[in-house]
Amino acid sequence: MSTVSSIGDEMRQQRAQQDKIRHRLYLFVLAIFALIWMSPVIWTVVTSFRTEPSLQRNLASFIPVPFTTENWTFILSSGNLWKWFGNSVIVSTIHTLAQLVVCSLAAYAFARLDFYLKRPLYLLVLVGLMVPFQATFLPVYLLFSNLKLHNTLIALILPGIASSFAVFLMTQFFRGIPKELEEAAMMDGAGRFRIFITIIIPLSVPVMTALAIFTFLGNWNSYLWPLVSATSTEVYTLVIGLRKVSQSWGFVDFYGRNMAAAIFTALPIVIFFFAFQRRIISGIAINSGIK
Amino acid sequence: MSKVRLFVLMGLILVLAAVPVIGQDAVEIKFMRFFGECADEFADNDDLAAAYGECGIIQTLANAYNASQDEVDVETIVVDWPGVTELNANLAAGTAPDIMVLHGHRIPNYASRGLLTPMSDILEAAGIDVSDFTDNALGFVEFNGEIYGVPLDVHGHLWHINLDLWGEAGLLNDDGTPNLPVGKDGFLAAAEQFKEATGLPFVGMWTNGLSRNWMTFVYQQGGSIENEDGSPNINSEEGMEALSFLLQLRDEGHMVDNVDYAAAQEVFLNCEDGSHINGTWVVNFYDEQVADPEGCLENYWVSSFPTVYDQPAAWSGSHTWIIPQGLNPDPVKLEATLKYLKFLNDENLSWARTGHTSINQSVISGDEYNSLPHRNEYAEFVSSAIIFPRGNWATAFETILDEELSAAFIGDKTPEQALADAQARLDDFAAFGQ
Repeated sequence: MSTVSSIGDEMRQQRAQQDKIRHRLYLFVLAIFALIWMSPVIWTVVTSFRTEPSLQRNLASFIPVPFTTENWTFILSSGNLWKWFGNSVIVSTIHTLAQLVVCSLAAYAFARLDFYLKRPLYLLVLVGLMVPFQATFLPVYLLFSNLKLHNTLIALILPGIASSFAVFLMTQFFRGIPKELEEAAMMDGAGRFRIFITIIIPLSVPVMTALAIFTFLGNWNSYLWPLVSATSTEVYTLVIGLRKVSQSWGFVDFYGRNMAAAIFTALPIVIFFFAFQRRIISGIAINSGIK
Repeated sequence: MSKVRLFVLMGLILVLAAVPVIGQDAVEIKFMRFFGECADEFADNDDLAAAYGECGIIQTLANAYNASQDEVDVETIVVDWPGVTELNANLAAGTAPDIMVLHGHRIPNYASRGLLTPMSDILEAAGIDVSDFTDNALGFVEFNGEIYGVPLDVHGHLWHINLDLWGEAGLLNDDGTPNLPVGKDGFLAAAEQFKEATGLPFVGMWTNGLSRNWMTFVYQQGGSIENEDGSPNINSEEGMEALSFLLQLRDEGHMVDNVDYAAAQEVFLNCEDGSHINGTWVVNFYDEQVADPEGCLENYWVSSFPTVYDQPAAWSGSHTWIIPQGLNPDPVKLEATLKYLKFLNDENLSWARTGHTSINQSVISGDEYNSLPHRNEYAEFVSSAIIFPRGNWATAFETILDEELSAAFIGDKTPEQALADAQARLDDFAAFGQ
């Protein structure tokens, strides 16, 4: 008996040892892949600490020698930097909140209400999913030009608030919420709007968080629209402002400054991601798992 | 009404009528340009001597003009290079700027649509001496016999030379200047001599963008990329010879292969080839490399593009000032714009400090211009710069040729097929634009 159990213990120990080695091997291989995947980001950080003459001689180096902080000094000492940062925060935040409000209301109407032309209108919303921004860019530009709204933060906030994707996403989610919850509330005398606020919205936090994150990120990184609408320094977003500050003529770019600008622009988003990564990941799951 | 009251009333009316004139605000003009945003450093600078770099100089010019008078107020709007996205959007919305910088080869696209204000009849009256423009500068702003812009500079490809390596190869004159080879045989002989002495390639250029150098070799043979009727002429005898020469340089080891812009530049700055074909825009940057103790480039010379065939020629471009106000501009704004244009033209020497060549003959022949770094070395560029064809297809030339020549270089296509395809594609483009 004791011989059998000692053989069993030995086998268990061996298996545990093999599992340990296998686990370490997996970690090692994954670490290699992670390093390869991270290499462009590492290069970006390293490049931001290199001098321009050395970058012109060897752009691909991962070693910041000679080391310099002049690129970061240049970027951070830009008097308009924090104004542009503020513009980006204001525009992205208000745009996101406005989209959530407008699109959630529209989505609830499509999901729960019956009204004339509901189906054709919903199809029209879906058609909007197939129209790229570039196709509507010029009419929207002309519209804002006629309203004399260019070079204002309003022109950066308003476009895209009515989003086909947001309406579609939330409509599908709302349809998945049991009707019995609303019926119960109705029997207690609650009206549609009260039901929307007190029942639907709290249950929709996951999808609305996911949508908010993607909308915020998309607006933060937006380039083409702010490029043409915001031509005054006062209303640049961070992406546009830093691009223009780092730009030189034609083929000669200040790589060090550009990389420092890129990191500075991405840093708030990176921090945002680490703070909300669980929500972001569950949001991706929701998007991919939509019925 | 008594006479006294009548006179007082008339006087009041006269005063009220005069007030708008006496208290008139400056005419505000929108000045749209690229070259970057440098408000932090130059927003308040109006001292041109203290300005440097393209952004610094152009910003200071605007500041200096505003500070020098109070009739015109120039509002600067910075756009992304090359500015056509913003220009097109503003033209569509009817909010085009009063004056803008545009590459000269794009002028036909806008002028042919009536989007630019013709200037032939108004420049002289504004005090701008068109006869002082160099021939190629003038060529970049003309279209169908009309002038549509005021040139700011002519820039183009030069021959950047590492004198130390040329010295090793015995290619220097007694005075230390480069013994520049002339003609195809002379060039290849120099390249062979250089390779034997140093083991390095003689010349470098980015091989994913050969259209400009290919075009240069076409013109050096007396050919052209444009037929007499203005249509593209790509699949020509001269075109095949130019492509064959480039391939020969690569195949015989006289040119580094498979390099993009940054990599080709790195090869030169790391002293791994003897010379480098690049633009006027890098002259100041390479001087900084010479001054950098970490760099290997210590003795640097800039010549105009190597003359491999019968006549000197070099690819060139031009920054020009256009007035995108169409055929019926506001006369008040136009007058204000022309005043600013005259100022910019008068200050062309300041812009020449960027490395680009001046467009005024009087400036080019002056001591101050010639005392700028390396200007004497590439003085021939001014007369050898090629004026880009004035057809609408010109804006597609580089993209299409770069693709087709790259395909020939990496072996995806034969040289004959590459040129034939480039010809067909540009013919389609030219036909579409009619």
